[in-house]
Amino acid sequence: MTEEPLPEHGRVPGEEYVKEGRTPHPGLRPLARWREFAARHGLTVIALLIVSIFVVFALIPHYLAPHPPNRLDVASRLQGPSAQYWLGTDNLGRDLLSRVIHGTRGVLVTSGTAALLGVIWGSLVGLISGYIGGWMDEVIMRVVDALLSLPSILLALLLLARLGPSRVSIVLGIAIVYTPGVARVVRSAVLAIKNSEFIYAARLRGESTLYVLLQEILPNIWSPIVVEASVRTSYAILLTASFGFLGLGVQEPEPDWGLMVSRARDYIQVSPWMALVPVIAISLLVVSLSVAADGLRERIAGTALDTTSV
Amino acid sequence: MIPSWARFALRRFGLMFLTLFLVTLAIFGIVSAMPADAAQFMLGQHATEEALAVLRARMGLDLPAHIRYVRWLGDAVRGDLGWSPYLGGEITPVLAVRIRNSLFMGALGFLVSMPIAILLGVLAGVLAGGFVDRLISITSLAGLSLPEFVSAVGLTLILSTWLGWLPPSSLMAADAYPWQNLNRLILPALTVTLAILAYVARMTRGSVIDVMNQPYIRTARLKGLPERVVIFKHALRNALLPTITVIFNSMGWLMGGLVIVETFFAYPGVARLLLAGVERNDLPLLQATTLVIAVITLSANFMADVAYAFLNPKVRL
Repeated sequence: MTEEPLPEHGRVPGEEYVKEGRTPHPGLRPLARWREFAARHGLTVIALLIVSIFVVFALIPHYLAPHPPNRLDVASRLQGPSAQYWLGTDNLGRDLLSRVIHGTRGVLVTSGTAALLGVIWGSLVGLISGYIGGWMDEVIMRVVDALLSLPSILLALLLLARLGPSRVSIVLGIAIVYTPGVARVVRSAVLAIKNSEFIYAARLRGESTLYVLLQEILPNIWSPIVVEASVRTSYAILLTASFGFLGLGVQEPEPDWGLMVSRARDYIQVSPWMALVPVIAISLLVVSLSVAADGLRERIAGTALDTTSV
Repeated sequence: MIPSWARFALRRFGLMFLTLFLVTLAIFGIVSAMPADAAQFMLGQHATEEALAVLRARMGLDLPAHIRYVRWLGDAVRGDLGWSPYLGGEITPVLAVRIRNSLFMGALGFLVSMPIAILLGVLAGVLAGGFVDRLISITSLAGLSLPEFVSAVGLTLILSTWLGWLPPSSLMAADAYPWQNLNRLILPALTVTLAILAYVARMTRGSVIDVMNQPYIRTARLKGLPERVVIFKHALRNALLPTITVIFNSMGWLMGGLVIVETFFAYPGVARLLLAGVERNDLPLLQATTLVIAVITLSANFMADVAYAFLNPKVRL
């Protein structure tokens, strides 16, 4: 088995910290340090701010939304922004802003859990496959390649169909779909450090395989795993919203962003607001998350990675 | 003596079949071999014993799983994809029409988007670092990271609601010839290829920048050739090679995007048939559509690899 070249963000962790030092100016006061970070990473800071606004939406929607998400006001349906309804209303006269705010929690929790599970499972598979190697590694990697060759939404749809559409199925479906991709990244990170002296030392001490995996290898491949998790989360949001749009796993009157877009489809010639508001919310969240993930990757790996190498 | 790219193609062909075999196992495993009773699952909680028995007999559910798998695979190879309760008949003829519709829309999308993508990529690459480059790069990054229904809403609002150039829906009879309704196809075709457009533009930009820094470009310039000749005659011929592979490789992307786009525009393609299978718990239909989509994706990936090996001798080893 030849060693694969590392993906860019799967480089040997830690090197960069040692060379460059984790904090550039350890003497600075916290506020000054933050200011320097903001000046150097303007876009990342804006992105993080937007993401935190959405997180606040998800935490306390009831205090922030101007109206209850499901209150009907048929007299003022399909309206544009007004003093009463800041971003307009949908086909039943429900306030779009309030619905978007209330929908945030569903999107964030579903995609966050899915990404987390996918990263955990993928890391386990990657750790085992990379460390134990041999025919098992060969078999696991063939299966991983086969699963990765399918469009991810297709595989997720299959799983969702068989599990029966629900929030839990969406989470499981996305997690399973992401497992092989994460496994491959983690595996190559493991391969990179597998033959280091500290691993040999641990084995010669007579440590068990489980100990070596969890205590020696895992702490040293944290950075690619964290980067992977951040990237997977923004993809998971896309998939979650897509399932909502397809009407799988969510039902009216739940204020799901994807579902809102699919309802708005029939009224797009009458009032663009109903479609635009959830679409802008999704775009803002996804783009901010990927910009923030890029910033994180830069900080962790020391190099900016081209976002296109999906 | 077999040329080396052909040897590479043969080996890749074998690998494709191995992958395909694993994919069929995965599809069959997920759809058929799950613990829940398939007949009960398809007919729902309130099905009578007789109805269940009929369906079990019809689908051969009383046979062991490995025999069902071999049968399914054998039939599929001979072009028989089974019987679907939702369609009330054989799957193959219906699926063939849907595939034709989807592929036609995809091809139209590529035909419209790829020249635009290459043009933008070359422009950004030649003017690298300038304002135009940054504009193109940032827009393409946004186009890449957004889900299809976002671009669908955007394009519909601009091209249909506000400009009124195109109809907002692609609804048509499934067996109508899509090329007779070209104006209804443009919107979904553009939407489904928008992300690929962004991707191809970025890749083209990268490879143009690479080539423009090569010594032979400097030589051409120093010979006193006009910049136009340098770019079109010397640089682009080499810079566009990787683009071809990228275009082939984005087939899987296209297939994934179809699920959203065909739903949004109500277009009678293969992805909507797949979704019908999901919604009606029609397992044979689900299995058949997934298999066909997988075959298309894998063959496109295979062609991408072979095209790349043919054009670039370095990877043939």
